Amino acid sequence: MTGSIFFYVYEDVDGIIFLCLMIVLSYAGSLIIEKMKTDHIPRAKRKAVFIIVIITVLMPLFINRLLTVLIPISDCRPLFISLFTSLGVSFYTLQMIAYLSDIYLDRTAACKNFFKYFLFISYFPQILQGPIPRYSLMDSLFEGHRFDPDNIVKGFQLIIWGVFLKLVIADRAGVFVDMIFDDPDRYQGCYVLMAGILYSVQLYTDFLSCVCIARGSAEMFGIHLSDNFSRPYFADSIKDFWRRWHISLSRFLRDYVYIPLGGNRKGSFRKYLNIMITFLVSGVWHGGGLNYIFWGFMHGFYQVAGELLEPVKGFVCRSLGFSGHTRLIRAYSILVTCFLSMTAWIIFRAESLKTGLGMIASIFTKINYYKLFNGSLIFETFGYIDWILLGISCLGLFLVSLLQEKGIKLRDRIITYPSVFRGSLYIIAIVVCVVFGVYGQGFDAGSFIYGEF
Amino acid sequence: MESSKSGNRKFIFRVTVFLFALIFTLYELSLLFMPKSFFDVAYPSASSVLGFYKLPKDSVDVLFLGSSHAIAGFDTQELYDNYGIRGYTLGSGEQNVLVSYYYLMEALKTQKPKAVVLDTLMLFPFRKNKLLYSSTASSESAFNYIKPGINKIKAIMEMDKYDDELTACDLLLPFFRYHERWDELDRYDLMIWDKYSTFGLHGYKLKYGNIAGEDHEYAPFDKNDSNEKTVIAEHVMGYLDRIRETCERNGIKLFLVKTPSNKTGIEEYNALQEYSDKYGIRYIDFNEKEIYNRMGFDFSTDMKDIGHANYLGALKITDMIGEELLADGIPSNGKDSEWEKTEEIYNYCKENFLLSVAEEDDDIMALADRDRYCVFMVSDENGEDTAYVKTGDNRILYKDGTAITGVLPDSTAEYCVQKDGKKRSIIIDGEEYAEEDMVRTMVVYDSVLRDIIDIICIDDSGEIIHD
Repeated sequence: MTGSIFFYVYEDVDGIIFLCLMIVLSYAGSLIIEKMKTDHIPRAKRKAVFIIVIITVLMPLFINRLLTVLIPISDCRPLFISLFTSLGVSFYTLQMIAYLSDIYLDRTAACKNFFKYFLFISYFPQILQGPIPRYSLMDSLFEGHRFDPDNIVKGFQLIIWGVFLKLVIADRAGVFVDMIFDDPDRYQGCYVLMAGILYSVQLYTDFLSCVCIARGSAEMFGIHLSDNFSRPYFADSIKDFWRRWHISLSRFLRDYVYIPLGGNRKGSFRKYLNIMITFLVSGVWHGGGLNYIFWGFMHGFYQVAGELLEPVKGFVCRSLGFSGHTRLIRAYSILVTCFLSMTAWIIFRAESLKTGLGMIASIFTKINYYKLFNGSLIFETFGYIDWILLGISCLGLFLVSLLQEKGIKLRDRIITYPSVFRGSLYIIAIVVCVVFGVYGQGFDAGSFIYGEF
Repeated sequence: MESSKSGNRKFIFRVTVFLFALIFTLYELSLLFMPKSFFDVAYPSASSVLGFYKLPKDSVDVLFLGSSHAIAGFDTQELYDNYGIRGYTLGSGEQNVLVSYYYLMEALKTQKPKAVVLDTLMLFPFRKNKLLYSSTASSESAFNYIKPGINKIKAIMEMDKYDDELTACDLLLPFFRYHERWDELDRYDLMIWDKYSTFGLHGYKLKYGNIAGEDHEYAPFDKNDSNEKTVIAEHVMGYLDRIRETCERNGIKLFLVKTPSNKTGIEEYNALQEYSDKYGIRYIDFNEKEIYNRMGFDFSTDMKDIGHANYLGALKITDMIGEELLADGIPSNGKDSEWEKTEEIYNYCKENFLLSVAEEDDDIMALADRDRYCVFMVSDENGEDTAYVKTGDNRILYKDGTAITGVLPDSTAEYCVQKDGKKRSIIIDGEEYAEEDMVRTMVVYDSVLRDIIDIICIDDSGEIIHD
């Protein structure tokens, strides 16, 4: 707990008071809900209190998103706004909501020990970018932790992998992405396509790296955080994509938004409506701008359209004689899913919704794809060597992901190798990260993309 | 339980070995990635520091400290040849007083100099936006080749307080600062592990050329001109005091010196004179009219630029310092092989200097005709396109527009020389040296010192311009 407080104060000294206030409020709320339950207070009253507590907890995030829309960052923003933008507010708000809901729904008992609850919310490896844990699944956080060399080594492996993803892939891809997205009028067509692809890679590796570092740090202390990703770009539909991307958020949205709305229990129309609402909530959670809301809408639309068009897809496959070629169909589906998610990421990354839509349109209207092969994508700040390095690194990531997809865990294999070989491997990995990583003066190691949400 | 304890002990042992191996690897990589300011740079600070560590113990009589003004101004070979005093300049670009202090501390680990001469340029605002008046880059690079140790750590920690742009981690492991050099590493970088010679002249950099014919404003000041004095900043004064106290503790005579430069004036002089009088320190400002005239200094012919003395200027400065040192009881030693062995390189540098200031075409051609020089020339004199290359004994001359290509004798770079109609080109190691609108451009490369020592152009009017 002390470590978590130190971490938070170091990262966001102003936000610590606000975090403490939110923890106290939600803790008090949890005890009240629990007390009403044991005192057999009528359900309607309990529900009313629960809703009040949830609104209280949700209010800072709501205000934050509202202010983001009303007062753009570029304008002079009043000081009080910073109160609502404390570090990790999006993540710990969902954590609190899940916890309070679980108590209300009798899925778990309220935690009586305030310090335990404080640790659960503020636990430093996860507060920046998740995963968003459930209280009932966090037993290992509160157990006495014995020194275990295996945990240290496995945690260390994860941290090195995370650093590789961040410094070598995400931040290098970011150089090209920033250049294109910062000047959308100048760069169109193939530039947008490449920037979209690289942003998809950047966002994934950036987010995955933070989760890996968080999981690795926790694992060194014997605390096992859940994995937040499962090779999302191997998904063969948008529905599958959301089973693999930001898993803890997807599960939260499923359990605390989609299912309470009725899920798929009230007919097809309500099901599709619920999907749309759930993804709009997801969009709002990611940011207050219209582009985030539209990004959520796009994913909802993709999923609904995907389900509606499923019979058509089957018919087309049968008609073209592809029915037996499951691998081919899957590869095609993966490509289409990647393209769809990429177009949504362009909206997500763009300065505004209008800019994002314009950029997507240019992919189809600005036919300049010959530039992919005539050196036009080589810039002073992003040259041949950057493309080669990024290509090799992404190939490495792809191969590792492929093995993971087949159920092979490289970490478990490496740990069985002789220690001299293993040590050399770790040193080589560290050297690769520090030599080929993008960092240096002006680089902020804490600036993970998802940390901004 | 016992086996668990033993397992843990084994693990801790392995982790310790791993951490040592990792730190060792990163340290060695730092050496590989750090820029090698050995040969073709204005101020070879790497050579100075690395050369200092190679000196025999207790072999330095006088230690010179300071910025590039000190590096160019104190001719350690002249001091040895004419006065028998073994001097070494531990200088670095824009060396601030904190760096000077810690260089002194580092030097005292292996040397017992009888005198320390500190150039005072950086005691006053050089870069006004910096607390220690020097750029972040120069502060960073000053410690690149200093051996790891308490002095280095203390210096870095203290420097961190005065420069927001510095990070202690970057200074302790320069590798993090220079890691992006991976795509430009070359054979020089690998030399760090080799028994290389950097051709250093004990910290002295003999500067070629002069500023005769260039616009410059300089006039020595009269010490009676004004009583105004600059206030030396408290933290700068603190380090100056530490240098003085360290010298006192170790029985070292401290000299404060300012080489000729337009960066200093009467107000700085008065401030340092007051300090010197207070502590009984010898202070010599070569910009003071009486001293300037006494040593027969000529700013036009004795300076490389407005801040740095050339070879002739350094001779005059050093002769006066030598006299002062002898007068102050610094003994003259006999022969020392360490200073003897640099005579040859020193003579090469002197020859290079003579070429760099030659004003007659015949003199230039004669001086450039040395075996160790590679000469690359393009000209259209008398309406004839001429491309000429001399490397060692080989001479190639084309008048038909054909390009002459090849590799430098020391195999460090490729060259391409061509004169074909309007096209004139002298490319060495990817860099273009041919000047437009010049009748002749001649580049002289010293294959022993591995440096382009002169670029000589002749314009339409026949005027010779050295670059």
